[in-house]
Amino acid sequence: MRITTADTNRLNTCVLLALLTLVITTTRLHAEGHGPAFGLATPTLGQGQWSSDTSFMALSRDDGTAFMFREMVGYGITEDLQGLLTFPLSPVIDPLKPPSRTRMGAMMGSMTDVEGSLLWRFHRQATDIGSRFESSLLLGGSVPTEEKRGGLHVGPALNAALVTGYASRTVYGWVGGGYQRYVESANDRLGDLPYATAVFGWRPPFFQRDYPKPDWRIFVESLAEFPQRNRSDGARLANSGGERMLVGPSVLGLYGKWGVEAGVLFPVHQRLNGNQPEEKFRAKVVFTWWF
Amino acid sequence: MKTTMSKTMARMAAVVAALLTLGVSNAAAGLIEVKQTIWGMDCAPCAYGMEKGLKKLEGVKKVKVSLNKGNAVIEFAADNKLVLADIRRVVRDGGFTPKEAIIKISGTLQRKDGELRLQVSNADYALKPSEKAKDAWLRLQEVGTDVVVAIVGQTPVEHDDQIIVQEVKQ
Repeated sequence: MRITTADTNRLNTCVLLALLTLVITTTRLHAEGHGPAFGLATPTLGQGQWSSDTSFMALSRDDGTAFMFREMVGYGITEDLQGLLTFPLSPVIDPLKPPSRTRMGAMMGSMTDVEGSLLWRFHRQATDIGSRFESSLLLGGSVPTEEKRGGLHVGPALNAALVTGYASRTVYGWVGGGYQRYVESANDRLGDLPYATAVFGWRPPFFQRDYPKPDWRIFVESLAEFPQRNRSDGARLANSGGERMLVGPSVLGLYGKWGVEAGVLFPVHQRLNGNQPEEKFRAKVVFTWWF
Repeated sequence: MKTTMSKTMARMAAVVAALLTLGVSNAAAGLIEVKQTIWGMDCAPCAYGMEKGLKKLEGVKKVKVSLNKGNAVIEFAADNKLVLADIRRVVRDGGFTPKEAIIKISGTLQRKDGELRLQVSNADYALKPSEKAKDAWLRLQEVGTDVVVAIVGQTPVEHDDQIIVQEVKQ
């Protein structure tokens, strides 16, 4: 791979943007998020609270590795209804052609889309000190930041997901599923994306010390995606769609006003139509704040 | 002579008692400390958000949140106008579930329709006996009305304005 001056400038811009975001938000930040790095989760912000998640993401395939910075801003409209806005902080570095049909984070949208969502926690049942069952519905719409993706015109998309789970001081568990659908643009349409996530989390006894001591937990995350074939002029394209399942660990650390999370997913099953390159891994680092 | 002296002494005692009553009646009345049990709060950011939300209330002096005990202990400034419902509202706004609270409160004892009540600056609380602290309840019965007392008691989650008396301090 040859690195050009344009690539270097683009990378510098990305790093500067990320640092700028970090500086702006760290002036009044606070960590939120019980959540996994990739999967769906139920918690919403408290009423009137803001959160900022700045992510660095990588997706590696047989034909290369793409990187991106992405931001997600959350606001607690009520204690059970949260607004989310997620958008790219940088262009994709070393973009894959065509890009994998995926949402890089179930709550975050596709890599180059700007997505607005509402997360409604419609069921909440506190069962004891530090534990609760809850279920949430995620509804969102997105617009692409590019005219074409993988040679196809790309239009806006709608996403809906449902997730339910349990949180406690010791263990966490969430299962959920969703469906993303792009609308047609200039006779092209990206395939629908049904997906499902499952997350198991554990906080070792050593990290169950009381607030304000650091709060760490580890997750095992799994993600299944079933992208449908893309369409162009009404024809289904051979080299698109399929199914894949990925599994991997993530770790979330929270302390005082900030949080950091890192995770990686490896494919355990891939059956892709045509001659699409297979995925090797996905990785994500997230800095989270409250303000 | 003896009778005259007795009457004079009694009058003086009444005046002193009246002055004392007036004095304590002007003393600060309101919440002194609340230990609010919270269910469903599982993580450090939840605790931070709770601490931040409670500290925003005017009249709160100090907040200590415990995840392992599942509670928030709030100390109040002497001139606060807060009521327990304010604390529980912050807990609910944070997305959590308030349960019973142990409160320490100072106020003026009143008797309305045969029921003992504690009058504070902007609210009043119905006082109820506790099976475990019968002595405290008996002691409270002996205290006259319009007297300032400090009470420690439990407040059930269903009734923000009710105190099950556990301890009385005059």
